[in-house]
This record gives sequence, C-alpha cells and structure tokens, in this order.
Amino acid sequence: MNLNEDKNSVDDESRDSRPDPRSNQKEVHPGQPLGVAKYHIYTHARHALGGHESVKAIYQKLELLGPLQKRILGFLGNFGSGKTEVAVNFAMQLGLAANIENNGVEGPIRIIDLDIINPYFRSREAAEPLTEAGVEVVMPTGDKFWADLPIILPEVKGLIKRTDGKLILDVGGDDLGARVLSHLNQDFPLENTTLMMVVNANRPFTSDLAGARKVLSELEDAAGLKFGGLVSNTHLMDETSPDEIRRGYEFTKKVSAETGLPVLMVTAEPRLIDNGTNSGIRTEEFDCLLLPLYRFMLPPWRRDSIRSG
Amino acid sequence: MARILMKGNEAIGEAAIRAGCRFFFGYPITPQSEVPEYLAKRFPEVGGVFTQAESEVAAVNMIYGAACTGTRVFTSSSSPGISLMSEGVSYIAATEVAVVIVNIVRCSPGLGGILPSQGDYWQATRGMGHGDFRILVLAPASVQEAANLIGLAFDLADKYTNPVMVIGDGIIGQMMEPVEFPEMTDPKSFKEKPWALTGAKGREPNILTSLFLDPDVLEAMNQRLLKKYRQMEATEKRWEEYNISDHMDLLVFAYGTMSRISKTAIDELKQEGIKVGLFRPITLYPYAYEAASALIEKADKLISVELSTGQMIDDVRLASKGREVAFFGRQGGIVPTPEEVKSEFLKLVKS
Repeated sequence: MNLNEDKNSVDDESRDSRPDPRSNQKEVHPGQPLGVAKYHIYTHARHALGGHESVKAIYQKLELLGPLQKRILGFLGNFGSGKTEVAVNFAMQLGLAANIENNGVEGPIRIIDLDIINPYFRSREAAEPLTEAGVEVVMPTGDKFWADLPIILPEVKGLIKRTDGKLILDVGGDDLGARVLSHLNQDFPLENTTLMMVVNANRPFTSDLAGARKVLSELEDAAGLKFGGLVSNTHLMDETSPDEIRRGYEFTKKVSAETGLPVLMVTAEPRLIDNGTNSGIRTEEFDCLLLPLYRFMLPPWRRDSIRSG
Repeated sequence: MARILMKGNEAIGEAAIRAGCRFFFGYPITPQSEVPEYLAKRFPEVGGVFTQAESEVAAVNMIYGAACTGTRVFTSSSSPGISLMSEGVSYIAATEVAVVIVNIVRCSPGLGGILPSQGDYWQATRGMGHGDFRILVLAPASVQEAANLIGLAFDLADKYTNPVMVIGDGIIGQMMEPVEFPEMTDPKSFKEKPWALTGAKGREPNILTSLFLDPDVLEAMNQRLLKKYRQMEATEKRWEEYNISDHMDLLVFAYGTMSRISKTAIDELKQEGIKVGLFRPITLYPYAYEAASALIEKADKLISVELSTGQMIDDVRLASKGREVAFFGRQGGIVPTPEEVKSEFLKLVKS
C-alpha cells in the first residue's frame, strides 16, 4: 500500500487541528481586559478588589507626601522582596484615588511591568483588576505575556518622558532585574522620580543590615540610578503578626539611618491593621504611609476572603 | 533557626547545603533557574562549588564524575533539560553512585511553555533512561516539604548509591512560603566510601564503570540492581492520607500542587456533608500500592487528578485491582481552580 495515498492516516486527520504557529503574533492591546484573562491561574485577583466597598474606602484615603509626590515611582528590591505586590497595590490605590475629584491625585495612572526575569507571579497577572481600577497596564502582550524573555516595550521610553499623571515601575528582582533600568536611565527626569527599595527582613540576603546595604548598592550600580527611599515590607505571608510589621519597620529604620534614605511606606495586610477589635497596627505608629496590602499573587489552592459581587 | 520566606527553588538550594552538599553543576532553564542562581550566591559563603555547565548533557556527566568521588552532589533542571540528562542518569544508576536530581516540571511535550505541569510523571517513574533501572522519586507539595525531601533525597541516594529525583511542578519551585531548615551537616562527617575514587594512594585503584561486556556479568549486575529496587519498594514508600473515613463517597489521588487544590475542594465538600478523602503519594516510585489499596476499599468512587493527561492514573489502577478510576486534569500550564476541581468531584459523587 502506498502510504501517501492513505487518506485515512492519523496524520491527515489531525494536522488541520494543530495549533497555529503564528498565534504569538495575535494583537492584544495593553490596558484592555485581556483575552488571556481566562488563564489567570496564579491569582484570584479578579475576585480581590473589583467592587469591594470596604477595600475602596481604605484605598481612597490616600495621602502622598514628600518623595511620593513625584511623577515616577519605581519599586526595586532583591528577589522575592515583594516589589510586585507593593507596586500593584499602590497603583490600585492611585487608580481608585484618581477617580475621585479634587483628591490630590491626578490621572492617568500607569504601571509598567518591567520584570524581565521572573517567570510567574508578575504584575501583568493582575492586569484585569488594575484595568478595572482605571490603571493603564503596560506589559508584553500576545503569547509574550507568558514569556520569560527580557522584553522592553517600545512605548516605555515615551511614557517615562511624559509629564502627566503617575507612572509606577515594577522592576524585576536583584541586580539582574534592575539592569533593565540601565538601558533607560538617560531618559529619566531625575527631579521627578523616586526609586524605592522594597525590604523584607525575612528574606535571605537582606536579613541583616550588611546584607541590605550590599543589595542596595548592587541595585543602584545595576540600574545606574540612585534610590530615593525605602519600603518596609517585612512579612511571613499568612504567619505575619502585627509585631512582625513593627519589627520590620524598626529594621528598615536602621537601614534608613545607615543610608540616609527615608522610609516612605510600610505595608501590612488589612487583617493586621487596627479596626478597633484586633489590636492591630495603627497609622500613628509610623512616620510614613501605611499601605494596606491585599495579596494578588496567590497560589491556586488559596481562596480569597474578599470577593467582588 | 527562625522561619524565613523562600521560593521553593531557593529552599531546595539551601536544603542541599544543609545536607552537606557542596557541589552543583547545572544549566539554567525556567522555572528552576533560581536553584543555580541561589547557589551561585550562597555557595561561596560555605566553600561550595557551583559550575554552570555548557549544557544539560555536560551537567549530568559532571555530577556523575563528582559522585564517583563519593561526595554529595546534585543538579536541577526542568523537563526538556531532564530529557537531555537521561542518558547520564542511566549511566549513574548502572555505576551505582549517589546523585540527587531536581526536576521543576514545565509544560511540554517539546519545547512547550514555562508554566507548571506534572507531565513528566511517566518519565520520572518509568522512563528516566535506557535499560533496566529505577530511580527513587520524591514529590513535595510545599516549600517546607521540598526542603525536607531534599535532605531525605541525599540520605536515600547514599543509602542505595542510586539517583534520587525530587520532582515538583513549576508552582512548587516558584511560590514563596515560610520555611525552616535543619542545622548544617558537616560534609566531612559522612562515613568513608571504600569504593570511591579518592586517589589510589597506598591501595589498589578503584574502578567505576557501567560497561560490562560479559553477558553473565551484565545479567548479574541487572539482578543486583533489581534486588536493590525490591528493597526500596519494601522500605521507602511514603504517602499522606487526608480526610480518610471508613466510608468515603470519593477517594482522590493527587500529588504536588494538585493535592493542595484538592484539599481546598475536599474541605469545602466536607462542610456540605460529602466525604472525600485524599491519597497523596510522596514517593512516586516506589508507589505505595498497598496503602492505597487499603483506602480504596473504603471508597465508593475513585479519581486521579493531575496536571497531565492521565499518567499517575496507571498507578492508581494498579492499586485499585480493576476498579474503575475516573480522571480529571488540565494541561498546557493551566492549573484548575478549587471550584473547578470541586465541581468535578461533585459530578462524580452524584453520578
């Protein structure tokens, strides 16, 4: 039998349904609700913030002081320090605050996912709730959304040079991730930029002062830019206590004393913030912004306590 | 030691150091690259040697060589990289030296994608290379367990002078959880291995090889290995039982990330009065068939849930002695939500 004439071969039948090798060239527009959203597998973010009124109330009480009034606010740090969660939560706050008239925050609020090294748990995965909150998300699209390639989008330079609204930068971890900024550092309006180092004292390599200082100078060297402040993000995921937040803040203040960089933010999950009954932390304990931080980057077995609708 | 926050991949690196391992040879591949990245930073602090090999083929032969000296050594990779290593793993098993191999599985076949998968189950448990050999396979479901099993993997590799694989889907490697490590093991504290290549000063040279041309000798080697695997099967089976009762509506088989998603679904079904138990194998080889069989007798229905198209289901069928086993799985890096898994369980219970 001549195999070429066998019309019933498995090959003939199944070739037609093979995936399109050009599927990576499909158009997905940044900032639009994503076609890929149904594959949001690492975050239940779509449940987390969308329409939850009590969350909105916290977010709308935003007051930006000092270096946080700059137009470009960038978050850097060592691997796993929590840059993405901080950047996403902060952008979400700004986005919701900008929707309120005369609130001191002017849009448009944009966030650029500049993470060129992490394969999972990146801010692009929270694109849908960010977009719902009025934040423009700048990230690789199409199937590049899923790639771990060092992609710097062509529009990034232009967005840095603009003068309107606020621009949040979520930069990948370690000096390797910060290197992306060395490519862009000539374009930054330095007088209108604050780069912050996110510090989690429970992470390897930044658990003591010497380590934190070493990481700080490695990041500055790689980025070719200087830091303007610190973010205290010490936590132990679900095992975090209010005292853990206080301990982390004290540690970040020590880093601050050594480096001269102010502590601009301290973060805490809302359950750890005083609500009159839980003896949680209070805003007056800190000389900086207390950022309520909702976890977006959740493993798939976690169910959120907050849901929309 | 206090608990710290670590990615699974970092915890794997630190756990290897705690277990007295000072040699790592590997090649970067997502989603396991944080293992070599962590060791590149951490090894200089403890006098370890990290070498980025030119390929996975080189890396596996480097660990083969290091293992011949009797030292603790490991490598890590992800699916396509593990395939490249498979020839070397067969040589290592045949030579009977101890190595640990970490596979943080990505979605395949082919180049596939970088998202999590459990598609390498068959490869790990049945097909890690050519010839009659087996490797011990340990499957953690949390960052803490990944750290614990790395320690165990080194001990078992030494005990059986055999490759041991620690296998996790991408989520196990990438997610962060609090973790606590054991005290440091002194690499000099291990007992001497008289067969190791340590420089033949004052003794006859040791020879380690996997080449045996005489059929009688080679058959004897095969039989010797078989005896070792039988011993593993008799003594090394590990598993977890969850929400087991005397009469279950459904018994779920899942490992790694899928076991944790299943637990969320099982907890919610428990609230609704539906009795679903979980059998989670920790050793994928040897599979704890007897323990599974004992639970199967208490369950009306059986299901295997996987991030693959149905691979572990083969072992569940072997344990179930002819009973029907349902299947639910997602592929391509798509991880089902607890809702999705729960509705599959419900559908089966009500059918």
